[in-house]
Amino acid sequence: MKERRTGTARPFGRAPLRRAFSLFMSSWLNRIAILFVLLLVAVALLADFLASDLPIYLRFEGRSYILPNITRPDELRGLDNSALLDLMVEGEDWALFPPVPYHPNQSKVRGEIDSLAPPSLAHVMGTDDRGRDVFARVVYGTRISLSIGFVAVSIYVVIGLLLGAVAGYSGGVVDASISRLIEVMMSFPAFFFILAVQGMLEKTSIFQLMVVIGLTRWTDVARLVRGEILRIKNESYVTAAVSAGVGRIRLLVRHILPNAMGPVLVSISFGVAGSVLIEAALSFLGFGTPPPTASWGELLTQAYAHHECWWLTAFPGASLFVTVLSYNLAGEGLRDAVDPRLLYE
Amino acid sequence: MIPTIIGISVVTFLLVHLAPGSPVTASYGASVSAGNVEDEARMYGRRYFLHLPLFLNLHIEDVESRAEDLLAAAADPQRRPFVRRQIAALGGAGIPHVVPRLPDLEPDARQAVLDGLDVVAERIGVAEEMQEKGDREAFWRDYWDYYKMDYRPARARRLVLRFVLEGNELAGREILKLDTFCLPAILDELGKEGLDRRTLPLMDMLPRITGIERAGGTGESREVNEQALRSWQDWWWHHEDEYAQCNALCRVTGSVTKTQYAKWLRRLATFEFGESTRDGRMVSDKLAERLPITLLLSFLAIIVAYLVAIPVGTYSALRPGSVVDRIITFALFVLYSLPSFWVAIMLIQLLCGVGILDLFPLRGLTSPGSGEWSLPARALDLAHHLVLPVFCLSYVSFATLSRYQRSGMMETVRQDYIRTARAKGLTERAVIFGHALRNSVIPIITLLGLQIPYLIGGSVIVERVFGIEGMGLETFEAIRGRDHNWILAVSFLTALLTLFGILLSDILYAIVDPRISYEGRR
Repeated sequence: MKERRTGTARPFGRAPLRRAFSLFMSSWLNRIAILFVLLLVAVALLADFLASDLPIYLRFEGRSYILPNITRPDELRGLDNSALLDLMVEGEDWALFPPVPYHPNQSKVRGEIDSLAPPSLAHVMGTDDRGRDVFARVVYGTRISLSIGFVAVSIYVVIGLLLGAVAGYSGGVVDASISRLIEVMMSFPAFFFILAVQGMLEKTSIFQLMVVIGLTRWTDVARLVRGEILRIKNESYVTAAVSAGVGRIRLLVRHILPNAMGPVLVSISFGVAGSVLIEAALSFLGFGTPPPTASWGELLTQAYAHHECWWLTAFPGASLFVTVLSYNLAGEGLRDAVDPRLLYE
Repeated sequence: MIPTIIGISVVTFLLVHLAPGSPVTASYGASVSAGNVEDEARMYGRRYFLHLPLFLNLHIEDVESRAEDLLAAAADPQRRPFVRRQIAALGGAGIPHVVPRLPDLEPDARQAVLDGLDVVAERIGVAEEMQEKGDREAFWRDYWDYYKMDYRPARARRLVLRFVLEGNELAGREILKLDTFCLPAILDELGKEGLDRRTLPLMDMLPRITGIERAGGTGESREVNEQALRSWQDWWWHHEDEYAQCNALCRVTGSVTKTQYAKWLRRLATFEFGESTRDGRMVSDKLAERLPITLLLSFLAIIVAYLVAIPVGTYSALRPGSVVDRIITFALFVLYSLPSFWVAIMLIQLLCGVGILDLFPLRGLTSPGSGEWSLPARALDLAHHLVLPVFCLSYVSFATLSRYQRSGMMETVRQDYIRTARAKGLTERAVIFGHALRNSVIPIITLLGLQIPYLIGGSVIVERVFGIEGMGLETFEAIRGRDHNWILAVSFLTALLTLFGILLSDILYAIVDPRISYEGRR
């Protein structure tokens, strides 16, 4: 994507951030990528409205329930969409059902388990080996994947920023020891190391997975930030700030760090893609998101066990691929957009 | 480099201690017979040095503190059988620390300790004397008064020397009388002199003293004896603290060396990773069996990646901005984002007989019964099995490398010497292949080392999906079975391999680009 059009109108005098933004949006590929990124976030946030075992609005037995799919009132315990549909009285009760009327962990519909059913009108993406609706699991898997991606990346960006900033700004022994630490951590193959850590821990949970990814993958950000700060430290505006009597902490936080954020932004985008991929691969191997929580990797494990069920491969795999691709594309576009050589040419 | 290796070893070491709960209870649990839980736990803990602190040892355990602990434990009626067995096992080394303190004990506790000492008395040949005396406590009091001067380390050393150098029978009997008290001197002598005609009888004594049987001794072949000696030294390496006394100097150095980390580091230095807790085989043996398969896969994947990346990258670099270039660039980007396990599953579903086509075998590296085939047939079979795994392992690499090759080539054709080559009328082919290509591959050659960590991570998934019994699949199984020794060994090894890869990159950089030298200015 190197030869991307860098935009025709780039007036000088605009803030670098806005300039980078307009540069970024000038490519149609980037616009598509951002569209998908937002779409996936929307799917993750609205999972309860896309697939649920309870309606979005329900008028039943003289009472009206608002958003029972989220509030889960006690009166409706044990009921699901199909049961409600059977019980509801024509003309008196009514309900607004979600597009896919199943819960991701719901294996029985009207008391029957319909396992490994190919896509049909009842189950648009088929069912898995326990009769759970694949569409519902893919939708909730989006939520799991993205939340792991974002939280893990937030953790390691914070660690990386902190260590990188301290190393680059203070230099000397502190810099040397942090650099050594980075070097040590980088010697462990990322995926393999996370796998080993997961293997050593007794029980796995989603939160723990986020922390493990966060604690092992901060090295790239730390290295980037350190390099940027070493570069910026010698800029004339920093010297100007020092001569104006700006304190050390304020100099770092207000003047240096904001200008070092460009590469970090890029690495966040790639990092989300990487973390989503790691989560899926770990879950595929059985060491990631613990069951019964829905996860794309877990669905792909089932696909591996049931070779003939193409729908178990196609849908979760494609979601994973689209997610990784759109975050990578966005990262690639961001890299070009915040590249100082392109910005100030 | 060295500090980084030490750092790697610390991180790997800390990885062990992530596991909640003690590995003792996790691993030996199933195999314990009801009564001896404490003995078994103790043995297991010793084997993995779990009784030692992690990094700094301020309370060094030696025979004295062990005896003290046992005497204290004797106050607890529940633990008395354990104390009895331990006192018996401690033997002569414990006498100087146990016997003088007998009068301080509670009567019941004293009985337990005396029961243990009965076994010792039997071994050092004073059981009959004790029988005659009747009162066991009085006997031990007199024994200690009489033989106190015999229990000195210097005397033990002298006895061992006399026994070895002069073949003195009397010295031999004296050694047996001092029992385990002589162990430090015996093992020291065996370690210094090695095995020969004179020291062999010394090794013969060890089973009698310790009550542990080992194959080997007088009359056995040399190999058996060498192995027996190694196994005795290994035993001593684990149990030295139980029999030897620790003086002031030993306490200072021991604060660092008598820690789990130091013991572990020493094992790593000799690539001895212990045994796999899953099937009891040595980790190093299993590695020797599994690693070549993974290395074969990785090696082939690297070759494929470079064979694809160089032409593809060059081709698209020479037509920058064209439709073909843009399609290639986008396709590579898509390829780069494809999850390899998804691709692997799809390939299996499509091409391996379960779905539409039946072109490739489903699992493993060899067909059943291929062992009897001729060599070319076997090689062909292996190649047939390797196609899909190697593709899955290599495509992300060649997607990345092609992109680097493209920018490397674009950078190169902008150089002055290319313009010169064109200006003197060389054909485009000669310019590209004769002048540009060699310089354009410099960036991706230096990336060779960085492919190693990626391939190692990928091998777990690819080997799992294709059922190839390499290091990756074994690691997958090991994590399932919580085989800590294997996980640790492999984590450490892969980190070393990665470090080696980074070093390789630097060296390759200097080789392919003569402008860079590590001797002169950098």
